[in-house]
Amino acid sequence: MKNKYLREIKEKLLAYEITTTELNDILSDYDQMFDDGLEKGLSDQEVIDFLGNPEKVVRELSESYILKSENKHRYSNKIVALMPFLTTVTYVILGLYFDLWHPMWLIFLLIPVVAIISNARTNIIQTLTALSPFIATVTFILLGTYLNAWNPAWLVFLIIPVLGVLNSKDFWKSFGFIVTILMACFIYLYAGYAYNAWGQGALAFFLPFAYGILTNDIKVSFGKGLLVKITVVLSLIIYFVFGFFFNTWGYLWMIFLAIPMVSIIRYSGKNARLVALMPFISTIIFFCLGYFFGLWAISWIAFLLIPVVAIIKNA
Amino acid sequence: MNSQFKKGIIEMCVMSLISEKDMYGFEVIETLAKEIDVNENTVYPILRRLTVQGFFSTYLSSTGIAAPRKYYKITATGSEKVKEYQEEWSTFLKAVFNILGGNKR
Repeated sequence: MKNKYLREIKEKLLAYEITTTELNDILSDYDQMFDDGLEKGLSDQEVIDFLGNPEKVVRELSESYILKSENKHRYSNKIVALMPFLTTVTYVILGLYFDLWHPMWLIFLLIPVVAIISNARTNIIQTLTALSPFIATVTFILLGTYLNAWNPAWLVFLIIPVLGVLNSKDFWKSFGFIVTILMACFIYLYAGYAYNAWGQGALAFFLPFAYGILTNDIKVSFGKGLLVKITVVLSLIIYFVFGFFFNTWGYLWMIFLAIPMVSIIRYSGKNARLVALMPFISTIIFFCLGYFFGLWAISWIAFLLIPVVAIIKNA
Repeated sequence: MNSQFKKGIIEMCVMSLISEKDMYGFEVIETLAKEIDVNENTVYPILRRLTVQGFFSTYLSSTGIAAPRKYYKITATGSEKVKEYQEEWSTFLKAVFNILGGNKR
């Protein structure tokens, strides 16, 4: 009963502009007050009558002060709107004066990153999961570019499913998945560095993968649909097979962008679809022009497609 | 009674109670409910707003093996506000009684 009560308050609060900290604080207060009521010998229903039903509680909270916090969001929305401009200026300066066209194009990833952070409403793990593709891409590109460590730097992409599985409420399922991933990483790195057997070592990744499918956890991070699952499997297979046989580690990481893209196509509304896809499309255009044709100096223009498309769609 | 007016009075009572002793959320609601027909769902939002406005600070304290409770404590700004409210309220009440004829001079 208590969990249902708290869940209803949470769901109703999420309709308002509210930060994760505020939300968790309110829920923890109601959790505590509920327990206090039970401790005083009241029944579940009596406690609810005493604290107020979720609808009234949230209405009072919103009337009291939550709506005031919209100002903060308006402020952060301004920063989000300014990000394309700020990143473009920074990128041009870094490119012209320090010749850092590549890899400083990564700065454009700040646009979606800042938007995700400023709109973070749910818990920290969910926010980190949303940010994980960007964190992984930046780490991967920097390690690859400066240390030429494309392999094993790609392992960083594993933080995406790891963070995804941490959202699961089932501790042991998450624990098992993380342990199998760590084991696979260890086997892969040991086989690679000790015996130069990267190919055989990579087979270890079937362990977490099989575990994820068996426990149905793979869907936690990549959506529920079969189509998305197939994309995950195909991306992994293509990345590994082409990597080992044709040494495509340096650029075929883009295949992983297909996972969120398929997910967006499958689950987002028609209107928001193109806008949501643009960061990925821009990254692909930018990277291909730069990597294959050496056009780093101008290919960053592809990122301007993100705000341009958003403006056109919202106009 | 006008609900906004009642809310204002409840706010004043909440501040006054906490200025006397530190209290946890449920305790505030329970104490108020003994005296006034309080609309319970308004108390916590008031506690929260007054904390955000800096009239209360909070701290965690546990008794025995129970999970720690969040206690509300009046701040210096809060104490000043309580004094201000008490003076305003007593002047207001005097005036109301004068008008209603309940105050014998």
